[in-house]
Amino acid sequence: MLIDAMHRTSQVDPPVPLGPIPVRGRWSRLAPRLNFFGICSVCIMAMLAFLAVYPLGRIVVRLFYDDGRLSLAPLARAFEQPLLGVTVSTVIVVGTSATLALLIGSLLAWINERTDASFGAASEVLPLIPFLMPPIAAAVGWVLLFSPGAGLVNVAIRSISDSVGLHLARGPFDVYSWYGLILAYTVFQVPYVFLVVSAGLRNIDPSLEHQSRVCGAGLFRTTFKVTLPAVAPSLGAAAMLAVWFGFALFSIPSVIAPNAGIDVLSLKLVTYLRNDYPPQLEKALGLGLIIVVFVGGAWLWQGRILRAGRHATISGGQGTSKTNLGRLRWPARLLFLGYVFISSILPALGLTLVALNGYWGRMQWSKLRLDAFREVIFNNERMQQSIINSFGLGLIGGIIAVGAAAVLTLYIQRSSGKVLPKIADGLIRLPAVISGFIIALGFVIAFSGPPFNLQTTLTILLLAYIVVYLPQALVATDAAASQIGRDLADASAISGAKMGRTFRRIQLPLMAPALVSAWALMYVRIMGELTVSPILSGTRNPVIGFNILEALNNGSYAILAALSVMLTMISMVVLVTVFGGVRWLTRRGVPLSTTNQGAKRA
Amino acid sequence: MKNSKDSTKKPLGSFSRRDIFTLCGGTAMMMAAIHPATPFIGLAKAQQESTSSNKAMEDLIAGAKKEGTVTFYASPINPRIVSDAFTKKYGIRVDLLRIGSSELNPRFAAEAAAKSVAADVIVTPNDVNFWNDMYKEGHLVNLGEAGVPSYKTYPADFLRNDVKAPIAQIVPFVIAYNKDEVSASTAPTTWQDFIDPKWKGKIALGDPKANTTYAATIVELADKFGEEYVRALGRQKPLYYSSSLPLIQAVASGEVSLAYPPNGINVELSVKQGAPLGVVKMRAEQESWGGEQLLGVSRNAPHPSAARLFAEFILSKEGNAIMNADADNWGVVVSGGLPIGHEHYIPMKAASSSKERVNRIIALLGL
Repeated sequence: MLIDAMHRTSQVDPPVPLGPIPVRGRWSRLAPRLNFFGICSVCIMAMLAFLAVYPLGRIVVRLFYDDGRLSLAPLARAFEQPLLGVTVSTVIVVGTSATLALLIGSLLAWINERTDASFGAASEVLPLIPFLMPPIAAAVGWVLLFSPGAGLVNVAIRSISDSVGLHLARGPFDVYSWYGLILAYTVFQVPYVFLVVSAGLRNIDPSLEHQSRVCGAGLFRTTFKVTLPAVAPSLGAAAMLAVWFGFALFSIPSVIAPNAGIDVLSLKLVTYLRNDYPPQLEKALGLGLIIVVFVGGAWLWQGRILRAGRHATISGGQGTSKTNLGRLRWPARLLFLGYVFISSILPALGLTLVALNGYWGRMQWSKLRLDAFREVIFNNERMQQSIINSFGLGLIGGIIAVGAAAVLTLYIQRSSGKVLPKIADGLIRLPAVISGFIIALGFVIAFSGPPFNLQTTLTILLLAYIVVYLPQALVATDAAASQIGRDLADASAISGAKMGRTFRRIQLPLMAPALVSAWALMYVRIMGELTVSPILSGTRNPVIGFNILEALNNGSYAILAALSVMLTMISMVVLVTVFGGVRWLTRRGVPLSTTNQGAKRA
Repeated sequence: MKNSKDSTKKPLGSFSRRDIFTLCGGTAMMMAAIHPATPFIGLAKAQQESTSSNKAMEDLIAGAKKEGTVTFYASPINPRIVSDAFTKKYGIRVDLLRIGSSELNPRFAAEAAAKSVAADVIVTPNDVNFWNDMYKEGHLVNLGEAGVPSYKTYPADFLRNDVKAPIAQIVPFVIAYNKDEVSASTAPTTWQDFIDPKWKGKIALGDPKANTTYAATIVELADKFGEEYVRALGRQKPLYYSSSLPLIQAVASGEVSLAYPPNGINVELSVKQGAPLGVVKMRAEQESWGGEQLLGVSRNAPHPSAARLFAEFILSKEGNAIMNADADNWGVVVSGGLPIGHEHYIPMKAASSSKERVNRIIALLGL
């Protein structure tokens, strides 16, 4: 019964040819037929592919030219290094943490979106705090708390255990360990899962769950048989993001892994690039290709989930109903709050204490002071300009990238199987697995000089951010588009709407929740960007990432902590405003009513 | 081409008039450089030279003022003080970009390759490959030909690499200790003390896998005291940190008792905030070494005169003293040499050590 209901809703009709029947020719196999919307999509796609490939090409081509001749020797040399150990340890760390993050993040998203245990807009943003913190600050936060000797939590626990006569020399926790590293990764990955799965849950048709409950299925049966399959695309996208960021993450292992004696691919790769002059591109290439294999594998697997199409799609007409948890309501809330406390409040508290204390160590309770905050805000001539620039770049870069991602996703979805869009799609996603550092160097070589002359402009930063972070937006929009399915678009087309109109009136509003989370993702990443910025930003185009690096190289943990706490608060305010605004609009039914009417009219 | 062939064919010992002239001039200049008041040179000639160099200096200042600004890429911890002093003296704005060498070097190289040079002057550590490449590829000028007066009298022991880049700053590598855990009398004062087993588990080191300079600090110990020393150091089970700040904070927090090599200014900042940190004073007979920050001027500098004037300022006694005023850094021209007590300074050979050597050292540490 349940399964039947599921199948009926999820059945994908054979694609209906849109508009006049295309003339079959040799080219039709390469690229789909073009109309105005199609032409715009192709232009956007071509531009993005150019931006992704050209700078990279300028660097990579050099690598494969030996004495003016094309040579594959560098590829062979790329693998002349011990690879097995580092690959295994990375897979263990990323695999375990991604699984944990998927469990925790989905559970939190479900509690928040589909049950009456939600705290409203606050609980939408709270689990995102670890994600608003620059990862390097989060890593430092974990060390401040759980370093075996002087970690603040350890010191506190030891003073309690001493008072009951149990003496510990070190610990009990040790951040420099396998579990320390894995949990730090997990906390970093959970927000991605939470964001994407929340958007997915918001989009599913609650009548399915309702039907299931009416038919007598319990909470868990409904969850496993209806809700989970319905959000399969989001779960796939979340898993993909978790794996991908796990492999790409550099800041956290750079602080924790060396003392845990664990080798991690990303850390090794960045060391090859930044530790030596000239950068050891060949060796980095070897490690990069291993990452490509895993991230590419995850991508293909995600694609299979999307294509399987056995998940429920939106069929127009939604209501909101939330599962009543009954006696489980408060335990669920405590679970939620407990996670938020450990993952966010605790490290933020640790960072704030260190900022107030002036340094990490013996707490001088009577002498806590705001010097570090004052130093960050007022004694830094470029700070205000940096905040404005980063904020603007995050806002605009986020909007452009998410808009482009939405157009691309739908275009790719429509042109399924065609060769050229597929190639372009692959090229645009390529930067995902390449260190931002290399892309930034490519940008300098390609665009800073004539004829583009973009050096020290905000434009070059904007373009580089878009190229580096667009693939992340694509993961989120892919999931959303797949959830919407093609039925509505086809219905709209049959009724005579052009592609642009369908996009504007149907697909865009329906994807809105996912697009907003994708935007948030982009905004936060750009705001705290640390790899592209040091190469492309300067005194005429300063950004916050520079100040963070400056604090790391040249300041103190107190200044780093003050800066991170401030940055986190700014991002919190921005996200609460945006999410709150979207909730408000949704409650007033703005996007959905338009859609429903649009769909009904269609 | 033809000329050079001719000159090689010339029998040894036969000099053209121009050669002799050049030779004399060169010798005179060298003498003047060694000792400005050498009696060989007539008073009138000395005056003439000084007026001509004054004239050159005035022209340089005028040109620099016309350009009005100089762009400075700097990796030292506190380049702000010398930049401000320069602006105050000449009214020329310094567009200062302080970035770590791991960003500065590839960025400078990429910008030069893209023909969009932004930096007029750079100061970045002695990474042999970087300096030699930049000179070979024509992105840096040899200061001897650039008309930077103070460079001519710069102590030759402190010029590095093919481009003969002058050392603008030496950051001595020392040991920091936590005053709560260790008293000044029990802190190590020789390198042998450092491997005393009583420090087992209480030492923080710069991670040689993460950073070439940190690798060099260990290679230096191996060169000096043998590989057994490095093995003993590895047996101390040190904690490793990839940059100076975590290293300092580890010792400030009491996570470890000793840290090598901390960065002076990080120590100073933490001490100001109340951290119980001290820096070990090695006994005078102990060799000392440090990170060398070299100065370079872009060949295609957007502000050529201001670039030269700024380089001149940093290499002058006045500017160099300002640049190295804080945090125990050494400027080699301040007192015509190294600080008293550090006459045993050895230039870091390790800066040019091979990858194999570094890997061997990392293996000896047991990493």
